[in-house]
Amino acid sequence: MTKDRDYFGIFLNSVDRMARKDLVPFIPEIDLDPGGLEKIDLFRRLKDVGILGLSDGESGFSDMESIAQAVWKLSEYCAGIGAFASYCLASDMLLKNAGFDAPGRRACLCIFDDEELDLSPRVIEFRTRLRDGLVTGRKKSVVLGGLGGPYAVFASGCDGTVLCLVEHDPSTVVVEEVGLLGARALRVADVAFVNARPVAIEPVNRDSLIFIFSVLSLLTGACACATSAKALDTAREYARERYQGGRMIEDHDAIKLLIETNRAAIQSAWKGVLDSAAGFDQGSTDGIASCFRAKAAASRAAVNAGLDAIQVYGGYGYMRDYGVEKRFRDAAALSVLPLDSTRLLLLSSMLAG
Amino acid sequence: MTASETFGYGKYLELNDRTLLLLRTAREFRSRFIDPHAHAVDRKMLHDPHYHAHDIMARGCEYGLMSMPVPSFLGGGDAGIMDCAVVLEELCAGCAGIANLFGAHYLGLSCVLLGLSFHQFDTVIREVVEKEKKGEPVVFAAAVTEPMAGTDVEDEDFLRTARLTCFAKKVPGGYVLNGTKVFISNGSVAKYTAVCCATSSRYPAQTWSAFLVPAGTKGFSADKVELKMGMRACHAAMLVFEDCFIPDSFEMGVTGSSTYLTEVVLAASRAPVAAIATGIARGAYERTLDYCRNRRCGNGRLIERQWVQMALADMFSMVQAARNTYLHAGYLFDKEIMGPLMGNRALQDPMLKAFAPLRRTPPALKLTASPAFRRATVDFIRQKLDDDVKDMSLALSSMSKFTCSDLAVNVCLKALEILGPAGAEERNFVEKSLRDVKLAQIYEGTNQLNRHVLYKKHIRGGIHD
Repeated sequence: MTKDRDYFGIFLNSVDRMARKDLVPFIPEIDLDPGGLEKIDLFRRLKDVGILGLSDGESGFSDMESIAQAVWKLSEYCAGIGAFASYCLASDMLLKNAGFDAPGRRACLCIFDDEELDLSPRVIEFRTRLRDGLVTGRKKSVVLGGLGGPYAVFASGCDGTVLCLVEHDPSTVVVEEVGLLGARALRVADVAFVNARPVAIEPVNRDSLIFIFSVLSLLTGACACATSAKALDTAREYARERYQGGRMIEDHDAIKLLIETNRAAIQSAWKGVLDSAAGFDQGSTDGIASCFRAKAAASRAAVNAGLDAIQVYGGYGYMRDYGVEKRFRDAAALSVLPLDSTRLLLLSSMLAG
Repeated sequence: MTASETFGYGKYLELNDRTLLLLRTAREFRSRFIDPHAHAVDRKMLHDPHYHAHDIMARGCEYGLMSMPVPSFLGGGDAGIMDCAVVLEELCAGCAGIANLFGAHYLGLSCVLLGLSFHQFDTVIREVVEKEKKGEPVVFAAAVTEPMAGTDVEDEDFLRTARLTCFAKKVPGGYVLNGTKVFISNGSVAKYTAVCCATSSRYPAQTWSAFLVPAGTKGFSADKVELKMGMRACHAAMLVFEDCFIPDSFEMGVTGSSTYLTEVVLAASRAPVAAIATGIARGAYERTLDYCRNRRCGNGRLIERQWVQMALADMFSMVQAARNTYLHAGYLFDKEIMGPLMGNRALQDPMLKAFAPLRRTPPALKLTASPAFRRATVDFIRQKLDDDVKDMSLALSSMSKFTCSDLAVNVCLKALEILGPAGAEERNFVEKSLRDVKLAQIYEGTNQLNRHVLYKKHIRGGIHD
């Protein structure tokens, strides 16, 4: 897809305006009580501004590099909201790839059972089962699960792995929301299915899971980098306002290095995300493994930058009023979503092998 | 206590039965009153930062936790710095927020105890001990940090250029305090707060002084409690002084003596902060180990994966390295600072105990509150403590503080990584460890300041033994 740079810049500006006007006032509230998301109807706002249309292939910016830049823009304000958009986009792509006719659906990805997900065999075994056309099982750590259905449930059927689209029905689907370290807009929940009848079922394989992990890895990596980059920017501003030992904090070598080392790491990680996105778009053989490596690097850079941004602020950084602690919490939570660096690197090694 | 339960404590604890007993006490307290409530208290304080876990502190009275560092001749538990550190590590493995209620209390107490403020020994410290017997915690706090000066007020050289806002002014019969202190742990719940501030804006280092401010004193308020990322169970409050009169008898030491005494207090307090970080890391390690043992992974358990085993070994080694570092600092303080200060305990303690009723008579209290007596006490401390040894102790405790907190952050990040997506969830508690442990890199002097202190007090001097 050819990208018109000017038009894309206008699009990013509109995302920026929407985030500043419609989202920023609610961010602290959502962090304290993710239930506040319903008040702002986040899904509709993201759809209206065009972000959720990026995955439909008609916007002109459906390449992964553009999508990563769009979620970066959102995440400069709130990484949880950037990640929210990432999960919506990824689930839309997954449903389309799997053959569902559900453009623009915000389906919650129900992947993890109550045990370690093993991606090494060709056929993935899930404890969640599809039997006689009904889904039964308990899915853990379901992102967006707290918002209700529909649910895109990975399950084991008689003929292998299937992806079932299940609508929310309180009599067959029980949702229990889980508190999260950060990125609370993601409304993570445990979702139990008791003989739930799917509205659609499609066979999928391990590649579908790896595809979804690669998309999510890239996008959450972008979100984590964005929020930490912003944390470093605000930390530098703070270091110019505050004095210690008779001079600006920023004038101390220890602080200069703290900020610049992390900026270098974030810059490099973001470059890695963009390169991997380009590789992913071109369908290069190493494209998917490269996404995992990029996410691992982005996670580490983002978490370290978040920690050090707090350090620059000192005691103030630890308090909610300054918002930098939230950026760290968001980055740390996103460092393990959809999977942590170690598991992603092992996966990348497996793919390379 | 079995060998495996004390594994890693090394020779220090093997030598000391009292420390083992305190450790056992702390373990029981943790399992009965911290572990079952930690999550609920943390959760509650997210929405209500003014909530105070008073009941848990009251339970601590039954275990002697409120008077633990008070010398036995005053009726306390006689715990040294190493003992306190070991106890705090244990409590922090349960919940650092709740443990910090006691940790901040010990910091406040140490300002009085290490300053040998005899007047306070026989008044407020006595109150701590006696009320503890009735199950009523008398809480202490220490207030040093100011809105525009955090690192600056913890170092004599930086104090000279600090942007201070809180000052004491001498008036007949006492001092009047004006200004603000921020981020004061226990500040809103303490009955007594040790407040450090200058009496001259021109010569802050030369006039740095300490006062004990009772709660309820006219002109003193502590209404604002901060919303923190972690260690929520322990309030961080803003203290405001508006023409707050403090009588002479509540001054600790004499005007200008507090830069010296602050160094002694910091030499004592940074090893326990290092222990707090170590405890948080240990808690994260223990929970991760449990998770890995129980987490199904194919036909086996997560712990059978090689990468998990390697990561757990890393975590364990970091906890042990951190523990050895703080034990060394605590041991040195007890031996080289407390030892000379307290003198021959076998001879002095019975005497001090026997003379206690006499010391509590009004004329004796008047004497111990007098500036001359306080000055003599400060001179006594200076005479007893070798400056090189004090500097070495401060350097070691500062080193333990930044080493342990940095290691602890790494341990918690590893825990987050091993648990994967589940690590970010509140129910698994690892995310709480990560939120809590960050504070250990900041309070009691940022890690950058502590590195500076290590350089200044030890490396620059060329003493490397």
